[in-house]
Amino acid sequence: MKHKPIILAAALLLILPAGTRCLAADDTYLSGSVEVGGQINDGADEGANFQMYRDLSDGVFGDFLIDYYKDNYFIRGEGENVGLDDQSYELKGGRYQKYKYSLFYDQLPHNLSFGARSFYSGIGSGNLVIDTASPNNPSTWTEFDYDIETTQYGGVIEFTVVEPYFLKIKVDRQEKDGLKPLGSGGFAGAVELPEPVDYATNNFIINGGYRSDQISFKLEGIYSAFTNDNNYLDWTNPGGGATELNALAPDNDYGRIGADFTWRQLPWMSTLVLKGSYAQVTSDTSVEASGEDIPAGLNTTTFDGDISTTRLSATYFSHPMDALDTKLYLDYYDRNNDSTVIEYQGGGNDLHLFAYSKFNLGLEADYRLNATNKLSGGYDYRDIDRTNRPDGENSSDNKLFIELKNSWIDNVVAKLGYTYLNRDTDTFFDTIGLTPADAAFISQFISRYDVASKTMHDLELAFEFYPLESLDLGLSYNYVDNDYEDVVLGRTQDSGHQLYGDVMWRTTSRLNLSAFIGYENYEADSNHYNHRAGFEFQSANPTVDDGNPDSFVWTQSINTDFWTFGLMAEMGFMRDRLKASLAFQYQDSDGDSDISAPGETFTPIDPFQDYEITSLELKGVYALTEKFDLSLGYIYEKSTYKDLQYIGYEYTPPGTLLSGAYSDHDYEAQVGYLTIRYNF
Amino acid sequence: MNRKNFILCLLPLCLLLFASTVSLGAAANPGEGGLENGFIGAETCQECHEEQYASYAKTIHSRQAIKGPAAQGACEACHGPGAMHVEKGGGRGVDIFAFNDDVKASDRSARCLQCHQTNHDMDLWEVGAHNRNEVSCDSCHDLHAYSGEQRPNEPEICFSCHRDVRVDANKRSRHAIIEDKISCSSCHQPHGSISEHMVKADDPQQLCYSCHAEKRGPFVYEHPPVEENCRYCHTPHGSTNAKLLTEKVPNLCQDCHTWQRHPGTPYDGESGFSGRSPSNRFFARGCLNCHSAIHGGNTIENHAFTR
Repeated sequence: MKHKPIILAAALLLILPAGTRCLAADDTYLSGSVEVGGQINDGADEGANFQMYRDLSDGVFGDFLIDYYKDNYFIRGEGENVGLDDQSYELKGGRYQKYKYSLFYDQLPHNLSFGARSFYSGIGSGNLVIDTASPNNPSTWTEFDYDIETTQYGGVIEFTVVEPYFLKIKVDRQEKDGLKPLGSGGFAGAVELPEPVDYATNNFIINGGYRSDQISFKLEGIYSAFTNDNNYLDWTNPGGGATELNALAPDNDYGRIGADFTWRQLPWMSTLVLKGSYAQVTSDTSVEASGEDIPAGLNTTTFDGDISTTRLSATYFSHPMDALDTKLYLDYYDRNNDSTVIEYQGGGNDLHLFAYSKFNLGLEADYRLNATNKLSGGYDYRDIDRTNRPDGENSSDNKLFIELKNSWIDNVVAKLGYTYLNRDTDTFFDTIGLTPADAAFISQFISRYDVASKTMHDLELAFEFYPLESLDLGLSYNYVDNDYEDVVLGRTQDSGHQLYGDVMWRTTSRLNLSAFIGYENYEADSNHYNHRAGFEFQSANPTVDDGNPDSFVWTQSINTDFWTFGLMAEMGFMRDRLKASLAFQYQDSDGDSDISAPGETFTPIDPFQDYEITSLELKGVYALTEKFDLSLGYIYEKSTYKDLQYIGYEYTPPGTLLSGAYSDHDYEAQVGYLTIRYNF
Repeated sequence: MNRKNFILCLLPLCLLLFASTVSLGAAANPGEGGLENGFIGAETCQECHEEQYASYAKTIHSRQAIKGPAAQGACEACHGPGAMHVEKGGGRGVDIFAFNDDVKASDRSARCLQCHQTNHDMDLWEVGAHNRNEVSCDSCHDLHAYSGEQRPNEPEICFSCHRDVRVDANKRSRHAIIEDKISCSSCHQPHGSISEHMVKADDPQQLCYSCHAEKRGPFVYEHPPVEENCRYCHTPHGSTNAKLLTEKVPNLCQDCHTWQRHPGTPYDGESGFSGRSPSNRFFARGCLNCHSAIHGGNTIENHAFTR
């Protein structure tokens, strides 16, 4: 008992400093708002694109916000678009420098296409059965919409109680529910089916570590499990009545562990960053589960998918002198494929598991020539080895870049940059035993743009101009040209010009104006070969004339122009009692495609992805009293789309049964809304 | 160590902690104890900068109970001692640390990092692309913003530099960026990263899978470009082509698939619904009218992705 006074004294000394601070700093704050209102639309159901990621249907909705803190505790609750399909809620709270947490719920609609039709019953399930006697008469089909609603909810908690250590745990679940179009069929005919989407992904993430001025490290673990309620879609083929099967996304399990280490304040004011991670994703399927017929010579009826990735990287940043910053980096990434190899009699459909490893190293330097000029440059080398990718067994990229930044004129910053890339790709085609009469003989002549040897030139020019304190102007231009070398078949060249500008003018405290403009041009050329090996003799060698007029090399040129501009204004009237905003935007895309071949006549593809979108948003907020304000808003959008692939859309063109997916392009829609908000 | 010895050891430790807390409190408040060092106190600042002080008073920085400017001399915790500034009659940037373009971006960020450096989110700030390109904390964060609103106004603040992304994000096919459902920081780490484009993953592929888990496979039949880089066919922010594709289908597919029969067939202006030779390889969704499992197929004996 005699120790009690000592313990009490010790406790008092521990509590007193903290208690004194709390008593002296008793700050409590509560604010927030509650908003309710309604919206009404005209034409919003004409095209799904108008409501692609938002719910603008007629109805009542609300928002709320509550922000409370007392001393160093805080809580913030927020709800947006309550009652609509794009509603979201978040509750954040915690104690500064000790812990914080967050609970969230978010709905994201993705409207793909409205007014689709199908002759199947069981839409939304994994079993589609023809329910009409006239599958060729679309007027008898069932109407539905293609859309996917994503709902994500979960929580995060982060502890920094024992500084400099930290721990963060996140648990969330993402659900996707809806329909998307699925094309299936074959040479006998194609059918567009409503594919059910019933996905759920559970994620668990934990990371923790240590952070001091000199050293920090972090360990992270992720586990993610994806499940699909429909791994298969059974459907009745209208061309014969057989039950067919399509495999949908398989369930999978993903796990990752990673470690990061950062060491600062090394000689030359250097920082070393080391990172390493290992991840694995697995799935499984079997012929028994799908119910498919077992093909002849199948070596196994089960498939165990197993792909693992490993990443190791080291980056060393230095500041050896005032004017110089350098970065040296090494990165290794490996994708290992340990999935089951499936083989068949004859080998035509055998699996050739794809794997690759990347090695990347580079050096970058920023050198300040003087107070107004900075020169940056660098070299990057990347080597990729691929397994079972004969057209790109190995690629080596050598990239050089240089950039000059200049600010010698007051209020003007200019940047000029140039990047050069050379990609050298090795191929390994096994053509032993093949002759030009075999279709596979052609593979050695195909260069695919994702791996093909190429040279790239990339030029960038940018200006930032601040003539007045209240006026900012910006302009940037970019030109990229990819030349694919020695291409017989495949993309030979693509290039693009991009020009962007914007201006922001804060004219007075009650009027802000801003605008932007953008222009993009894209061109691509490609070589192709029309042939049909195995019927009458047509050579699979496009470099040799086989004398058959049905086999010929043809070229395609694509050209698209896109431009857009936007205007925004924010205004305050009546001493800011009335605030108004305006946003206007216009987009125009115009493309065409030409096909040509010696001795052949082709009709150009035009319209080719042509569209115009005009949108306008107006909003006014009037403060009725100090506590209440009233908002009135208007949204207008008009879209026209012309593309030869959709002009004259038919549900039952020859050999095909379509459902109308993405045919609802044009719309003119408007929405008005009125809300009242109470602020406290 | 017995209980008595433990307590006897604890007592001097507590005395030390008490003393250090008191002394830290004094040192941390230049407004009270630092007049001789050029500190003048927030009240003096407020006399001229009433509007700025009023906005500061609504920020998280003004809260007394947290380890922030309010506990360290308010305005002068960030702007430095103001005595010389007052002595010279004030003026923009006159003998005071101002968060404007006259001050180097790295110096402005350094002020914030005095307190925020130990945030593990800032682990790679020094080496990140933003810091190296002279983007400072105040380029994106409004330091005088109302409590809870200090987070940058995404995506607008990002668009002010990344003009191409603004245009892409408004295109006909896009991610839900302008709808505020996906923020730039959902995918990118603006405070610094060594990943390509500062994405929040080992590589862009893994980033895409974090939302599109159904594309992870592993599939029986793989489509190699899909497994290597989504961006061979898709562009992340927006596109004039459907599904954020870099080119239209069937042209995009035909750039790689030149084989016998239909992949190598020229589909021209007569291949549409109303043309002289309509083809389901061209009209509507083109190749996808049949080859739907383009991200990987999971049926046996079907490497053409039609099932």
